[in-house]
Amino acid sequence: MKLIPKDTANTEGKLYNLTISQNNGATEEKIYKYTLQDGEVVADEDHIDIVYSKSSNGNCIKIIFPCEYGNYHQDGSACVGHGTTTLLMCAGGGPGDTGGDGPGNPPGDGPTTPTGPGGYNPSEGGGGGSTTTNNTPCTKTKALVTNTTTKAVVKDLKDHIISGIGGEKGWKFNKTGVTSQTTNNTDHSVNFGNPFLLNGGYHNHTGTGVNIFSATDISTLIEIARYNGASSPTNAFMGLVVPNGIHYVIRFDGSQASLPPVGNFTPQQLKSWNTQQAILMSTLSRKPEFTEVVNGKKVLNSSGLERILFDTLQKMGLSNKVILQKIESDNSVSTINKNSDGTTTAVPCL
Amino acid sequence: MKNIINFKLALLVLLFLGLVSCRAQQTVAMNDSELDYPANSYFKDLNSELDSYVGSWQGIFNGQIITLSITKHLKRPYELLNKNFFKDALIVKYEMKTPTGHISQSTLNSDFSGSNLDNFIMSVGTNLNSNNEVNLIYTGGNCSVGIGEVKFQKISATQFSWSYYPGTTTRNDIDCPPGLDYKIYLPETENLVFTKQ
Repeated sequence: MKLIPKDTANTEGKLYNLTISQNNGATEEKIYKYTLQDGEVVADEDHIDIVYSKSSNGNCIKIIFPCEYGNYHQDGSACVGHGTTTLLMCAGGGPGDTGGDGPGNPPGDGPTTPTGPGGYNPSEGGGGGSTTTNNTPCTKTKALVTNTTTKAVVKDLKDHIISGIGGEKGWKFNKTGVTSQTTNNTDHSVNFGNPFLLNGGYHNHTGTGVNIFSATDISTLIEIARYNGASSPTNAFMGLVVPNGIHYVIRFDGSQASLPPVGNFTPQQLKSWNTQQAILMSTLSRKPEFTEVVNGKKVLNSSGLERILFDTLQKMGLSNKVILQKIESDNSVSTINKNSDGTTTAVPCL
Repeated sequence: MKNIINFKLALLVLLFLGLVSCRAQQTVAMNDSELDYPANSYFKDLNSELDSYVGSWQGIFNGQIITLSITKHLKRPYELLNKNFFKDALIVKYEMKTPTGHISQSTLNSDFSGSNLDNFIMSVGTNLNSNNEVNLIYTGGNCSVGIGEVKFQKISATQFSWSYYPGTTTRNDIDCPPGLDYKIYLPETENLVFTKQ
């Protein structure tokens, strides 16, 4: 794997290259610094320095590097200021839905010595996720959540919640096959950027506010589905990890023709629906059947959260077009159905 | 005999009309759940729990002077679960001013009419988690960034504490174009003391 070359590298006489390799189950990552001679790379010890090196024994490694190593993040979006890009590279392939587009095995299984610097090419991900023979929402999500990359993302989000550091994190499952952390986030807000570039996304909630997908999350799902092409809008997904072990996925489950028109949801509507979620949360919080006490604090249980989501979907005109799925700690998947009386029933995916 | 029948019939009609009227607008306690009542129910602040918060208040957070202008709105209409209801509620307008006098954000002149819900703070009841608290929601700024819970707790007749817990929001470039202001200006803290002016 190689980095995007830095535009100003030639004038500074330096060039950087990131390599990832696997050796006896351990994954190694290194950043090499080349001191150019007359603008050319000289592959000897005097001209190559290892400026960063790390080895991990797991299947996945997380790589964080600052923007100044390139002018663009790995997903192609422009760096703003001196931010960072975080990539997740796993040995087991990408999300199952994406088939050959999955992140795949980290390239560079061979020697760790760089053969030379060059531009980053997402297609080098190779490998790919598992394919499914039965493309139902159940099989898609089962493949998604058991995929190595997704498991690493979910673990990262859960670990972040447990760490108590606070704050929100998000991961983008890019169409390039690379899974990258969201960038340009702001106060308590995760920025998924251009949905055209995504197959899906995951983010966490910190335990304050409404711990289910907002109207904006749902709108993001719709936009991802819209740009997934006529043949596969149902591949779009959004995942959510919240405290107390709660993990949900939503999927678009309609045809391309049944998608809401572009611009169908105004900012005012989205805000109104998000606000109604907050009001409904306070209403449900007064009913014991929708609450539980965790660490001394009364919070909505799954029934309460699911009721809020279905109410929002109905307001957005998306009833029966978006599927809610609950993921248990063993990665078993259930489809959540809304009953006529407003209650919900979990139907396990077999 | 005929007079008695007419009298009974009149009573039944009155009873029916009374029931219809009752269904049309039933006044119940502010903290009752909308799930238990029909459309058009009025959730009233029967014990005047909100009254002591009405007025102008000031607090200081990170050097900024925060002014709150709190009014009580009676029988405010709202929609929930596809039904229309009414509730007594506090509406909170605010201004954040730096020590140099620069106003970083203000809703003091907002009328929140129509669909304008930006930076709107409204109470949804009291004592949701513990006694002596007013529970409010903040709708957030652009793309709902900052939407979350606000809690007031009375300290004395002239002071109350403010706690604000923003929830998580997400954005995409289509619904939330880059370049808009996505900063949260409200004081994200617990137990910030406000004093009546």
